[in-house]
Amino acid sequence: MKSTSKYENEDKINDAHNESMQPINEALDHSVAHLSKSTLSDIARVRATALSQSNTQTKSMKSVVERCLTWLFNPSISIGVPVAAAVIIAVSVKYASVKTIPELPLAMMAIEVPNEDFAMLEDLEFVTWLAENEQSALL
Amino acid sequence: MEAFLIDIEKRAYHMAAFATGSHADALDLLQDSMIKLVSNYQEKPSKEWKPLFYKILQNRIRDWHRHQKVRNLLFFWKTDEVEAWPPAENEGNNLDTPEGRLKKSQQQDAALVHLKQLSPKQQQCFLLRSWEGLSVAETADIMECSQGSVKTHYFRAVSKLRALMEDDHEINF
Repeated sequence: MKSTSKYENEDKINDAHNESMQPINEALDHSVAHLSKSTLSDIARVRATALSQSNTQTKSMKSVVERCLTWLFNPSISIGVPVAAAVIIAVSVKYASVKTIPELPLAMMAIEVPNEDFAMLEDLEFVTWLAENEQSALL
Repeated sequence: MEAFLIDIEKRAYHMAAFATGSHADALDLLQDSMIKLVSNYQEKPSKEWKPLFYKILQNRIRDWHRHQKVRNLLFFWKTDEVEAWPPAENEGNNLDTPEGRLKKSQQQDAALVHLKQLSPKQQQCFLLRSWEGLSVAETADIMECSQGSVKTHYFRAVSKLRALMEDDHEINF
């Protein structure tokens, strides 16, 4: 109930304000209704400029979109782009396959090395070194 | 959209002219607001155009006031020769009217002068609430302030206007 009466009071106050401000609103309406011809023509010019400028903006946006679409659906682009993509993929795959895992030296695989034999360990070291040399020579 | 602009342009021009006190600046603000509304909000439902347009216009007016403040600080020795608004030719038109209408039109001119004496916020608030008939919520949204502030601005504007009018014409409301 309190809130209702509060709103009623606010409405009454607003109504009283509106009534008391009627002369000012009438003055404003009168002023708008009696704008000079030059002002009216200026306002009309401003409106026309605003509308034409926005139309130009819309047109330029449309033309940009249209140009992009035309470019995308151009036959040379529609063939050239997939071909170029295929070439790039093929080259990258081939380049990746060149990177092979270094092979183990054959000599090292063939020989069974007893852990306790120092001489054999020395041979193993030599064979490893030899294999490394071979690999570097290959590269 | 064009019909909407035709419908609203005179009132909007009036608001801008009241806020700036200059015909040329009011036209600039009006044009900027129209361009922004047409280019950015044309697709919105037409019932939203009015509050949107006034919001854009009020933002432009606020920016204008900020620029003026900075400009006055930087170039304090310069005094601009601003074209007076409302233009004097309005008064000339009213001279042809009969005496009773002349008195009324003089009162109306005085009312406009009183309106110009309000602070920019009070002016905006009064014009939107009383003249345009927008709600408190809509006015608060346009002015980017709380509804309480709108009520305060409006109350102060009305009180000041009433006092000024009572002083001038001895009108008791």
